[in-house]
Amino acid sequence: MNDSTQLRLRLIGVVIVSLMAALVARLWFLQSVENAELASIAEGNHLKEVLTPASRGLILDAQGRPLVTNKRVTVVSIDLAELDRVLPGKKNESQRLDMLTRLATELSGSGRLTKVADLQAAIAASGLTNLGKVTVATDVSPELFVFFGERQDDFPGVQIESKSVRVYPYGSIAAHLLGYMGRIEQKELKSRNSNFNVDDPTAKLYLNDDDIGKTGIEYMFEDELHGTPGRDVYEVDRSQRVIRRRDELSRAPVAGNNVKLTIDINVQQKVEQELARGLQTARETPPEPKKNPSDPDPPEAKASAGSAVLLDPMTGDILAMASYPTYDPNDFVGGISVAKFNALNDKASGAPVLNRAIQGEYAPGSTFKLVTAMAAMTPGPRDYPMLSSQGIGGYLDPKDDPGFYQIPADLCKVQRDETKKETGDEFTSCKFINPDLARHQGLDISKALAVSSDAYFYEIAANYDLRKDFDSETIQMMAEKFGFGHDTGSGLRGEAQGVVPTEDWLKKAYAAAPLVYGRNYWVTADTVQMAVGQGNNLVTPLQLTNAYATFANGGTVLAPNVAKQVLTADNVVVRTFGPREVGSVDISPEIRGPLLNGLLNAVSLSGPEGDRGTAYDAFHSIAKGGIDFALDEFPIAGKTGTAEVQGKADSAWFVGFGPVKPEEPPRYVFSVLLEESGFGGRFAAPVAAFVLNDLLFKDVPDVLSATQLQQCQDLRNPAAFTREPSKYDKSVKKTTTTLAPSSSTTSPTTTRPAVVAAANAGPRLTVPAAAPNMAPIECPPP
Amino acid sequence: MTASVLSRVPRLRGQDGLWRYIDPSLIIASGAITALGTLMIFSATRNSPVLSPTYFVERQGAAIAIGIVVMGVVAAFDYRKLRELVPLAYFGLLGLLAGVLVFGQKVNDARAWFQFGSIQLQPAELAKPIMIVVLAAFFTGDRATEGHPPTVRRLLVALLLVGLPVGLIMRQPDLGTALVFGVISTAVVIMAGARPRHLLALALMLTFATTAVLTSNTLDAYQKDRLTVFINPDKASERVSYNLEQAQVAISNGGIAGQGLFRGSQTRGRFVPEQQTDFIFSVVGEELGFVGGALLIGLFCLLFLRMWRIAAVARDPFGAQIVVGVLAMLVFQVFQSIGMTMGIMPITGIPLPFVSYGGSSIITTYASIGLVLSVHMRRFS
Repeated sequence: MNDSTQLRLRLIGVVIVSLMAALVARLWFLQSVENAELASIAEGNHLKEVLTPASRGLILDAQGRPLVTNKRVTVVSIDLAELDRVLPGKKNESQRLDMLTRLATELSGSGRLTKVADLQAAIAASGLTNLGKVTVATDVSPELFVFFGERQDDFPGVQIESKSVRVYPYGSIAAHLLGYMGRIEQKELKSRNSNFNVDDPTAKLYLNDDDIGKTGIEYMFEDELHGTPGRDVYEVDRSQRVIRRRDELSRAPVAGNNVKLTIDINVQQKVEQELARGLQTARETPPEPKKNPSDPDPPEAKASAGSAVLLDPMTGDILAMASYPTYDPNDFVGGISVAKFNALNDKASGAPVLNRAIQGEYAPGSTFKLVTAMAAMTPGPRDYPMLSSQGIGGYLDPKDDPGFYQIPADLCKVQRDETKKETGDEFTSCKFINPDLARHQGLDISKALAVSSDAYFYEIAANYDLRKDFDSETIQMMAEKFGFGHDTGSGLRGEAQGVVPTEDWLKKAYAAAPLVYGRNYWVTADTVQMAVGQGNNLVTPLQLTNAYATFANGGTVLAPNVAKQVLTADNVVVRTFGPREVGSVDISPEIRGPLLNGLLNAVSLSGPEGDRGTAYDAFHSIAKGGIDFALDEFPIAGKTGTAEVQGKADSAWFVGFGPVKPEEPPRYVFSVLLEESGFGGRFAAPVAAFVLNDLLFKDVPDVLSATQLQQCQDLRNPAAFTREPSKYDKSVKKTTTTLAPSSSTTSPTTTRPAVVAAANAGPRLTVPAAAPNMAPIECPPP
Repeated sequence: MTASVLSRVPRLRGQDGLWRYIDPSLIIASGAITALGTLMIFSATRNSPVLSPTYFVERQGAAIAIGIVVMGVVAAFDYRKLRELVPLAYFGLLGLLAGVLVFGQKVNDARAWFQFGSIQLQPAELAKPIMIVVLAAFFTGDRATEGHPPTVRRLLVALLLVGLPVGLIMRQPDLGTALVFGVISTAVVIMAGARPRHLLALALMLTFATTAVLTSNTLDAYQKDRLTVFINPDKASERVSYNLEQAQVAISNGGIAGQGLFRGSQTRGRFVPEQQTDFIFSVVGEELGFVGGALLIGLFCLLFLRMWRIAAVARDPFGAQIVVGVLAMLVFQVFQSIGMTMGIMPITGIPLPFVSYGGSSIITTYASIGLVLSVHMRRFS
């Protein structure tokens, strides 16, 4: 290093020393000399931060009608910690009672009838809520704000605040799909805020007492629906007077995004109504007379629960999804009581919150035969040689079904020897019978589907299991391809997986629950039962519908879509959801043709009992007071199912799609399931027939939201109308058609119970539609 | 026998023996400042109404761990071999800086960060050590000119080399980091032996450029306000003078002994914006007082003294210029960041090395220390 460099380095050193000295000098100056003056500013300084919650996004139906909205309510709650502090323990029981009595009096006086016992019950049930804060009344008069605010000492722990809550204008319609909200739990709060980035102004923050989506769309789209809370930061002096707003620290709240669903509320309501009526019919139909007086009584058809699903098979869009029994999500608003929550989850009352369309697992019964038929006809690496040496052609040759299937002696011997080693002779039977030993003649695979012969499919399954020259789990592999045994990919919370039983599965299931499954080895009967949708074969209604959608659209497995779009509060589209392909099944025309024919015949093949399509009666029931469905206009392919459940009445199924036309893709695929009801063709198929008939050939009536109902009522009650003109005069028109002829009473229709008879002629009243750009809605007759 | 064979393995004598020449005081001083800094971040952020009290400290801790590993790796790498990597590093850097303008995350009106999940990367920080090595390599590459003052042409090329990345950084806009490059370049040019009249010309150009930037429309009004508020506090908008006023109030509030750890009323009330990043010294000043503040500055001085010494004993001009570049960078950042909170420097976002919250800054600072260690360890070889 030469001298010049050394000199330069020294120069740099001097600069550094002087800079650092300057820092220390300035520090000294600030902290000792200027200390007194500036420190006094610091003393008075205080910031007050007020967080303003953002409004949650709306949930809209496919036409843009709001299905879930918000309103601000005044909520009264009791802070238990504060109450315990002021009136601790049991010795102040009487003072507490006195306080609660006064509270109940005030609440009742303001218009919300409240009993002391209600308040005590709410406090006792506080186990579910966090922070020891119990909501005792929602939506009380805002005047109470001032009242309680001024009397903090008289009402220890009583808090009153303004809060935004959900409103469900259509009540229980689509409740399962929409889902409900509840108070955020500590672990949810933690995980939701864990990847919160302070520097990102759009980051969504959750607060301690936020509500959060717990099920359905509310849960699935939580990230979109939740808004970004705003904050107002004020500088206040010692006496809490606001000096100025700190704009640079403040932020306006940003409303959450809206979610537009694929369902239409009118269609959804129609489906729910028909499902409920179908169950009612099943309940009210007397049981079949016993063939033999000594037979045991058949299980009672309770028909207390069911599900119906309607999809677009080409896009996977869910057009309607119903589960029965249902509940009113308004019950969850402002916190639900423990007793009520338990009742909604209680199995004895049918667990109304359970969304049976995705959470119910049922034996599919004969509806599964489509899968078995697909497996049998699809050429595999090791072909199925039994029925014919000509491959697929073998299934097109007619043969007779004597009412049972007997495994040939040579194969049966193998079976008997193998199972004998394990147990006695319980599973050594080589004979599988049809229900009631029903016989069928001249069955090819097509007709076997149409008349739903069990023996035909027993034979296929038994041979798969016993013959060494092909894969024994061919049917199960086909089921997996159709989407059974795993999530459909709808994204809805709590979707059940169903079960595609295999040997491996049985071993694992036995290890987990030996008493339920009884044995850990596979027998031919397992394959045989599985092939006709019995045994351990379990599906969800959505899975089954989606499997038929795959067959209907030519082999594309689509994940069902619940949402069309995500929009901002100003209706700018953020995201659009299209068809999501998650798999495919090879369905060649040679296979599709006969199977489709079989499904069409199940609906339209007439003939004597036993040779008639199993759903024929449901679509040709005008003689019995039902409908004759215009099948030539809208051909429907479908399959009934009657699944046996140990000790209960059968589950009734009907699955299908339409129209089946060469020039037009199918528009609807649907499934109907009625628990503990009876024959699928008799109880489930009519539900589908009625829904489709109304959907296609009649006008599905508009459902009125709570607001619209209120408007209609106000129109009918001019006294109330004139009392408060400002509230309604802008939004409601009174169309004064004098004595319009009544347009109802078109068809004397069905045997359905509770047909709404409406013929009361009067002035027609209309109210605005729920969504803009839609025609006004006519008020229903009173 | 086996042992003696092993001991003759060249790698053992050559590479690993170098660690004997490492400078522990450099590491100890860095570590002490880092520890103090982390404590200050905790104090500044622990009562966030929203995030967990340890949110910032955990993330900073992770960055420190990565930084220390990076420092070790850089120190182990022979700095003379860095010369070969210079073109690659330079163009890669330009790519990153251009990329962040397009794909970067916009935060506080500046597009300076790449966002990977919850991790943010600030390429302008990365640019600092890279440009130090690039400049040092540029001035020392040629045997023929070694020992002679650089020509005008050479200086102009160097200006262009620095100008490109600085231009990109100004586009973000990140004025503070751009200023750091001015200081780094000046220091390296001085060490490269530039003639005094050339240095004077460069100084004039820098002054002119700064004036041009301040008077033209390149900057938003608020940026100008921030830069000039320390000259004319009454004229500046309330919003800008607020930052400065609150920071000074905080420091004054500390007095000689400080309010005590976690007891600063300004800190707890979070009156100083960005108090965990650029304004972190206000927390030190308020809670630890003059004693703590002077201690921190003293620790920095110890660090600078050691680095100055290392520059003096470096075995070649390349090494010496690297060390001086790092030294200039750190000195300027310390002076600017601390000076800003006390109102003797303009308000512009520059992190206080080892102390401010920010992963990119921590990691590049440790990498720079790694460079200095590498030069120091190889002073005899």
